[in-house]
Amino acid sequence: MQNQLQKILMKVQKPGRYTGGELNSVIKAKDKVDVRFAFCFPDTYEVGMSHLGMKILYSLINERENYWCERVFAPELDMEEQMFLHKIPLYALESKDPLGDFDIIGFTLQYELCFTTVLNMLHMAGLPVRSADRDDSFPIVVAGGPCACNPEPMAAFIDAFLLGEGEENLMAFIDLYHEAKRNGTPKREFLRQASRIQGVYVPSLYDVSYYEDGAIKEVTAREGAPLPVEKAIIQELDKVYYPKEFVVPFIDTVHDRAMVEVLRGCIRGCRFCQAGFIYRPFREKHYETIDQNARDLCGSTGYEEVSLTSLSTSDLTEIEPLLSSMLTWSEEEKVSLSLPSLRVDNFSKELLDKIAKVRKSGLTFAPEAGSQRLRDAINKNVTEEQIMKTCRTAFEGGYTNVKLYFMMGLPTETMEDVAAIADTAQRVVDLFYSLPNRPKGRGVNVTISVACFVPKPFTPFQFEPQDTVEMLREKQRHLISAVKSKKITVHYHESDTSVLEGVLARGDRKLCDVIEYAWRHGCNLDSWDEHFLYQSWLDGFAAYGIDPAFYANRRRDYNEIMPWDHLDYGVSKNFLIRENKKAHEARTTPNCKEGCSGCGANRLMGGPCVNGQCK
Amino acid sequence: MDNANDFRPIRVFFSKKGDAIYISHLDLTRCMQRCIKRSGIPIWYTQGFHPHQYMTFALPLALGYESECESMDIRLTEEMDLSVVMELLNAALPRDIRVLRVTQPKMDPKEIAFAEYEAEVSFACDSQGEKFLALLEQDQILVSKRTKKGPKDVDLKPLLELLSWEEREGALHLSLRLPAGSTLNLNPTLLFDAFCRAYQCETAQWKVRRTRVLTANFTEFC
Repeated sequence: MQNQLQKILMKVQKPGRYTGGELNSVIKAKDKVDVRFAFCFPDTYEVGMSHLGMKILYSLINERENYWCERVFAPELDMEEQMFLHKIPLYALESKDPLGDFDIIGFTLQYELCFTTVLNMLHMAGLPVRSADRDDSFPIVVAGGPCACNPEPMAAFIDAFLLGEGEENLMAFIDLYHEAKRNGTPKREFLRQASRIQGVYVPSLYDVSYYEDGAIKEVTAREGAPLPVEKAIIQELDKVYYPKEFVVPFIDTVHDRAMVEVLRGCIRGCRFCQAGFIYRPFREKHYETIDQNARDLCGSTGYEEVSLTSLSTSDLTEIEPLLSSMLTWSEEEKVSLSLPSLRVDNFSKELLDKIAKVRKSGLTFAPEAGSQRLRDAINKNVTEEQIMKTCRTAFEGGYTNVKLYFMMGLPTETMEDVAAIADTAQRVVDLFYSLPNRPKGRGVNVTISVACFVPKPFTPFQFEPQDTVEMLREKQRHLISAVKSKKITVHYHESDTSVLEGVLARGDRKLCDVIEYAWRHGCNLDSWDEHFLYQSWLDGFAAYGIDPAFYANRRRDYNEIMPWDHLDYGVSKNFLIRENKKAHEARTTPNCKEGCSGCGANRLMGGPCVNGQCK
Repeated sequence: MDNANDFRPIRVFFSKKGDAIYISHLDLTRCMQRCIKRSGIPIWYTQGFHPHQYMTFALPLALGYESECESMDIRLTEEMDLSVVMELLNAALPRDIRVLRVTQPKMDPKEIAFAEYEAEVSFACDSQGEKFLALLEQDQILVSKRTKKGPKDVDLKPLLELLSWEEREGALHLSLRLPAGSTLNLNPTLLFDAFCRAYQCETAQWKVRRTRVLTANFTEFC
């Protein structure tokens, strides 16, 4: 393999993506290992190596002497072509062994547009893409990650989905596999046993029937498989395993720095945000633990930047003591701190000062919607006053670049709401010039980045129709025409990919055929504009008589059975319905720290969660 | 106190082999910075708004080349035994980059004039040995070299010193000396390009290893 690779590596872009050998990558002796796990990220190396979950599970599995976890990423097209020409199957970076030699192949599904890449990687490894076509001689194929919360469109390809947090249930799954391998248990029986592990969903053990209009009639379990399937969850986040080492890539990746997870879940309940619901309940780490994690990682990697990651880092109760304690060593060791995911409503001057001590760059805020009415409808509990106050703090602190994130196509949105995005940006520009103590000699630059809203499972908006491409394009034009200042830059995303994302996000098993069709007709790495072949998808829908609008643009009744209703992520459907109704009345819901709204997720913890007063 | 000259300069010689040959020069710089950080060596940081580790490489190596004579200069803020520096660095480096020795710099990198290479190449054509000799017999061996100002034609003929060559196991094994350094730097792959252009074929496979870095009077850079 090594010799074969040498022939092709100098013929492809950035060969450093395909060699392995990075600092802290784990090499084990094959003959001393009982279970080999190939952790596959269905996107390029640069994207995959930025993903925290993979780093955690990679280290966790490799802690076990007799298990070996290796990394696999999707090759770019030039590499794929060379591999095809030289008959090199998809291999793992550590051993360079083909994926077929592994016991378990695990994918993380971070976004819907990676689905065809999963098929392509299985195919490049020489595996039939459908589970039904893989007998006991093939590795077990599993998948987890956020898109596993509605795994139905991938049900035909994956043997088992791991729902929820992987630190415990993935290890339980591998342990059970290890035992099954020793005992020679057939794959089917192993999967039946595995379905008893919390958070393991074996789609072949469930039957789905449909009404004539295409909606789901019933989902039933066979062979004693659980119904519903409850996601796996870590009870004590402060004690959960955290790696002391990260593999340090040679080439530049998207997020090339140390990362420490500070909390899980989110107290906010923004109604559009899937992560805000599927990772509930909110759990935090103590500042001493986070500080130690950061020190360990900086020491073992040599990174000079550490990012405190979570869905909303400024919601960390102990954020102030954390920053104080990190700053005692970070400045000395020339390590800079970065805090993504800050909220505009609790962004204090003290916090800003602490960040500014280390490095000054742009600031990013996400008001998400332009008008107060719409912000209330989506439960983004942020006021215009807070946005302006935060921008003022930032400008007075010497910042001149502000990036504002918005969404377009939100439920109940009108053209006035769209124009309000431009108005908000304009008021930020005006604010800058009204400040006597603004940074001198520099102009202000306000970037508004607008994403198309995609309704997602397990959110209050799971019932909502997504805007059609025509509606989204009209809104984009309207926004552009409403922007009057040269100080404002507008970025927006392609709407075709959003529509496809919308179809796949709320899809059912009928889409398996379409995904396979699209892949067989050239689709791969769909999230990259240069690779996106919308026509193949449209042909696929047509070939199977499927109307994408059924999935994307249709309003669902509250009592319709959703393709993911047999999976239990903690939040109850009744809560989602209540929240949906409040959205239409533009009524907000307090965050979890202010008061419990009874989402139901605390059930997973067997007691109250955030403020001890859960209903 | 913050003047660079107040701190002791040291020169780190290292090899780059195996998977590490696919690390570009830019990525190598970043890799070295992190390894030095991990090693705990008291390296001097440049002063200013964005302090960074002071680090210069004598002669950047092309992507895909092996080498056993790379060198970089850094400065130490505290006294440290050079053998300890070597030990700490080797413990922190990825397996395919190895420190060979750490010395006090004796020469200025500007003195570098030549480099020697061992190359192994096979072309997708017949009788590559004869064709190779014929190429060398030409009055001119024109190649196109990429420069900051765009491609430039260079005649390799007077600049190339073929130290030895043989053909075995279907590949040409060459030992070459070429101009190197900041004024004119020529890579052996240019010769392969010339071959490909002359005979309308592609390289099937190539390997290049830099073996020595030399001054104008052919003494080894140290």
